Amino acid sequence: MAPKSEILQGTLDLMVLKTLDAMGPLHGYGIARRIEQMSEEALQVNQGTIYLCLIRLVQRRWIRAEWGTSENNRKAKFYSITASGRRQLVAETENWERISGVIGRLLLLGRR
Amino acid sequence: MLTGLKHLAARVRAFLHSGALDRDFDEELESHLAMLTDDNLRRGMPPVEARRAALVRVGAKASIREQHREVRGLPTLEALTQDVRYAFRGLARTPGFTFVAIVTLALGIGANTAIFTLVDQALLRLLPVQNPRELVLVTTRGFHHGATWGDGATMSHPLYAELRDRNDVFTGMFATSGFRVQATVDGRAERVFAELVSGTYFTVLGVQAVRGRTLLPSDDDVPHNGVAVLSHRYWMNRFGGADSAVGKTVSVKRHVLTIVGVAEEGFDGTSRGIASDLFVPAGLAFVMTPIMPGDRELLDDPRMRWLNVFGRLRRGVTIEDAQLRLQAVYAAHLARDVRDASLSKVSDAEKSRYLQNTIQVRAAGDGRPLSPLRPMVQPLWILTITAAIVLLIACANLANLLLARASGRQREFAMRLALGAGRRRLAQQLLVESLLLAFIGGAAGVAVAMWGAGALLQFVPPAETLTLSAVPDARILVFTFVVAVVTGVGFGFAPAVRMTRPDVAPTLKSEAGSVAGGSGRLRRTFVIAQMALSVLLLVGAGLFLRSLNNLVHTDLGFDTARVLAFRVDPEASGYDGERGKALVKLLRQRVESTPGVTSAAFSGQQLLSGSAWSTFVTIEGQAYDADRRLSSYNHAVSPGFFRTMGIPMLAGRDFGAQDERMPPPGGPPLAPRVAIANETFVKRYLDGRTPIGRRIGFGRDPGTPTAIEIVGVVGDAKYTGVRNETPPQLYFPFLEGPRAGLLTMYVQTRDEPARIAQALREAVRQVDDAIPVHDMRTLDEQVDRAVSSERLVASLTAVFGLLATLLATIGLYGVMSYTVARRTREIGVRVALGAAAKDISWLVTREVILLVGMGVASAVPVLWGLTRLVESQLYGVTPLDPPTIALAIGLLAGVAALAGLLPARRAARIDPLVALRYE
Repeated sequence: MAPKSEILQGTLDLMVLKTLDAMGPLHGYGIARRIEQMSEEALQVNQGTIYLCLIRLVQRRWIRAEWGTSENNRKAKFYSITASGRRQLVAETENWERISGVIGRLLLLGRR
Repeated sequence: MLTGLKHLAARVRAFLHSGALDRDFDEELESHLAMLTDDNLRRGMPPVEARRAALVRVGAKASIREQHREVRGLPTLEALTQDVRYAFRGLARTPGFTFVAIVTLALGIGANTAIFTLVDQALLRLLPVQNPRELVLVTTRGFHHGATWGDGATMSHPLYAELRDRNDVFTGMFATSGFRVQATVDGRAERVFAELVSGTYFTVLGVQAVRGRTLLPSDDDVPHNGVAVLSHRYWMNRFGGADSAVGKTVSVKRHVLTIVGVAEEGFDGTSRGIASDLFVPAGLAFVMTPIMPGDRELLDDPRMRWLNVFGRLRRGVTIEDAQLRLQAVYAAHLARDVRDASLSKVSDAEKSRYLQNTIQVRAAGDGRPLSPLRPMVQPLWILTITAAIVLLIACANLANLLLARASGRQREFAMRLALGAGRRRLAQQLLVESLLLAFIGGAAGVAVAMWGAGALLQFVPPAETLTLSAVPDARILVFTFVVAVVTGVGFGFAPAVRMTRPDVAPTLKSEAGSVAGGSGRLRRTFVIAQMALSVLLLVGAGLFLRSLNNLVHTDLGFDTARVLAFRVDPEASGYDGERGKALVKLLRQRVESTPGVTSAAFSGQQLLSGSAWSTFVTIEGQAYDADRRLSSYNHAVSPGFFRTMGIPMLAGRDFGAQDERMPPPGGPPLAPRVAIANETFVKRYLDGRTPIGRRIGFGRDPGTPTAIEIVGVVGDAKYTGVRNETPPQLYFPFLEGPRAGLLTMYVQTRDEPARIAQALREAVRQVDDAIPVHDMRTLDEQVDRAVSSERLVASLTAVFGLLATLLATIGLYGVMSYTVARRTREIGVRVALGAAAKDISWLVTREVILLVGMGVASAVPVLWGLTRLVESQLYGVTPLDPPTIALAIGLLAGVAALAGLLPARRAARIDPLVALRYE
C-alpha cells in the first residue's frame, strides 16, 4: 500500500472531527455522506476508507465509538467527539488556517 | 510523547485482539452497506442494482479490512506471525528435509554445547569467591633442601609467614594444604578431603559461613585447636543440611574436632575438580597428614615444604609487580636460611645455587593452577575444536539443504517477484524459515547436550566429577542460542537469499536454464570442505585410537589381569606404630589364606596413580659431583611383592622376614638397611655392573653415609603412570619404615579377580570391622583410570569423525542427486544418441571422484600442520602415521562411493523418452 500524503490524512481527520463536533454523534455512513454533501460531491473517495481514519482517531482517543440504532432502525456504530478531540480540533483548525493563509499568500505572490 | 505511547498501547491491544476486532469491523461495514443500499433503493434503484452500487461505492471489502488491520495493529509483527505460520507449514510439507536438517543441527549444536558445558566449568569459570581476579598463587622455583609433601606444594610454613608479614603487595595471604583423611562421624568412618588452612583463608577469600562461623586468624593461635568447618556440599550429603551439625564432632584418627560452622554454598576450595569436605586449622597437620615430623615442629620447620600459598593483590598492583617485590623478601629469606644449622653440610656450590631460587606469582582466580583437571586441559581443547569442526560440517549441510530447497522454489520466487512481491518480504520469509529451523535444532541440541555431557562425565575419574555438572547453565544456553542464530542466519539464510535475485524472465521460461549454476558451484564448494574436514577428523580419531591402543597394551612390567588392589589405613583407625605394623602383617596373612588367592603383598604407594616418593641417592665409591644428580623413585614394599605382581627377580633375593625388624619399644624408627634396585637403576647409575652388595645412602651432599645394601635386582615396572618412562627405582622393606599409614594391598588371584572382592572385604572385616576398605579394583581397572583422558579423546574424536563422515556423505549424496535431476534432459539426449549405461554412470562417478579427491587433497597440507599440535597427546605413533592416514582416506572414499553410487545408478537408468518429455 502506497503511503498517503500526510496532508491528505490530516485533512480527512480534521473534516471528521469538525463534522462530529458540529453534528453530534454519527455513524460511519452518516459521516461519509455528510463530508460528500459538504464538499458538494467533489471529494469522492471509497467510503470504506473513512473507517481507516475513524479507527485511528478512536485509538488516539479523540473520538469515541458506541454501538447504537440508526434512524432506520438499523444497528450501527456511532462516533462522538471527546474533550481531547475538541482540543485537538481547535489546535488543528488554527494550524490549518495558518498554513492555508501562508500557502494562499504564496500562491498569490506567484500570480503577480 | 504520552499520547504516542497510548497510541502504541492501543495498537498492541488491537494486534492481540485481532480476531474480535475483525468481526466487529465486518459488522460495521455490513451496516454501512445496508444503509447505503437503503438509500439507493429510496432513489429508485432495483434491489440487485442497489446492493451492487453500494459494494462499488464502499470499495473492495478484503482490501479495506486488510488496511484497517494495518492502521490499527502492528503490520510488521503481523507479517512476521504470518511468516512463522507459513514457515511451519512449509517445513511440515517436507518432513524428510525438515528431519534431516533438524537432526544435523541438533547433533552439531548438541556436541558443542556438551563440550562447552564441561570446558566452561573446568577451564573458564572463576571461583565463587570475592573478586576472584585479584587472587594469585605464589610458588617458589629452584632447588629445595629438604622434603616435600602434597601436590605442587612449594612452601614451608616459616617461608609463608615471612612472605605474609613482610610483603606490601597483598591485602592478605593464606596457606592451604589438601589431604585425603579418614573421618569418623557418628561412629561411621569414611574418606573425606580435608584442607589444612591458615586462619586467614576464609577472610582473604571473602567466603562467609551459612551456619556458625568460618575459621578465623585466632584459630592459628591455639596450636592444636580441634575445630573444623564443613563445606556446604559435605554438610548436605553427610548431615542432610541439619542445623544440629554445628557443635557435633568429627574424629580424625583419635583426634576429636568440633564443627564450628558451614561454608557458603558452591564453595569447594581453591582448586577446580577437588571438592574439599573439611577445613581445619593448619596447626592440625600433625594429626591430619602422614607428614613425618622432623626435629622441629612442622610449623617452624623450613626444611619441610607442604603448603600452597595464595595472596589477594592490592588494588593497582600487577602480577609482575608482586613477583618483583616478593622476590626481594624471598631473597632475604634465602640469605638467612642458607646459614641455618640444617644446611651446614651442604656444599658452597649448592648454596650459591639455592640462592638463585625465584618466586613465581600466577593468577589463581580460575582455580586452575593446582587443579587435578590440568591434564584434561589439552584434551578438552582438542574436543572443543573437533566439535566445532563437526558443527561446521553440519552448517555446510544445512546450507546445502536450504540451497537445494531454495533452488527448487526458484520458479515460485520468480513468479512472486514478477507479481510485485517485495524482495524484502521474500527474504524475511527465508530468514524466518532458517531461524525456525535453527531454534528447533538448537532446542533439540540442548537435549542432546544434557545427555552428551552426562556421558562425557563417565570418562572423568569419579573423584573429580564432584564439582562438574552435566546440566548447561544460563551462560551455556546463551552460547547455544548464539550458535543457533549464527548457524541459521549465516549458513541458512545468507546463501538462500541469493535465490531471490534471479533474472525473472529466464527462470520463468524454463527451469532447465543455468540459473542455478552459481548455487551449484557453492554447493560443490561446501561438499569439498566437508570432505576435507572429515578427513581431518578421521585422521585425528585414528591417531588417538592408536595411541590409546598402544597405551592399553604397553608392557607395564607387571601383571594387571589377575591382580586386585585395595587400600586400607590402619593408622587412621587408631593403630599406631608397632601395633599398626602387626596389624598389617596379620591382614596380609588373612588375605593370603582367602580361597582363590595365590599370593598377597602390600606397598606404600598406589601404582599408576601419579603419586610418587623420590629422593636423591649417593652410591658408595662414586665421588661427589656437583653437576651429577642421582635421583631414585622409591617404593616401600612387603616380602612377596614381586611374586604377587609378576615382576621378575633378575638377581639376588627378595625381602624376607629378616628384613622386617622391629625397633625397641619407644625407640626411634630404624634406618633402612637393605634395598632392591630395578634394571634401569643398575643400567643408568651402575653401568650395568652387578649391584649386589653395593651400598647406597639417601641424599647427595658430600659425606652422605652409605649404609643401605642392595640385595637384589628386579625387572623394570611402571610406577607413576602408563605414559611415563620407568625411572631408576629402589624398593625398601615397608615394615622397617616408621609407621603403617595408608597402604595398598595387592592380591594375585587364581581366577576372575572381581569374584573374590567380597571375600577380601570379609577377611579385613574379620580382623577389625572398623577398618574401611577403599579403592578396591583390579590393576586392569587402574590402568583404565590412568588412561581416562586418552580414552575420552579417542572415543569422542572417533564418534565425531564418524558423525562428520556421515554428514559429509549426506551432503555429497544431496549434491549428486540434485545434479542428476538437473541434468536429466541432457542425459536423456546422450542416451538417445547411443551412450551406454556405463558411460552415463561414469559421468556421475567422475564428479564424485573429483569432489572427494579435491576434499582429500585440500586436507593434506592442513593435516601436516594440525597433527603436530596434538603430538604431546599421542603415544607410540607419529603425527603423520601413514597407515592411519591411508585408512581415514580409504574409509571416507568408501562411504563417499556408496553415496555417489545411488545417483549414478539412477542416472544410468534414465529412460530417454521420459527424460525428453520431462520439460
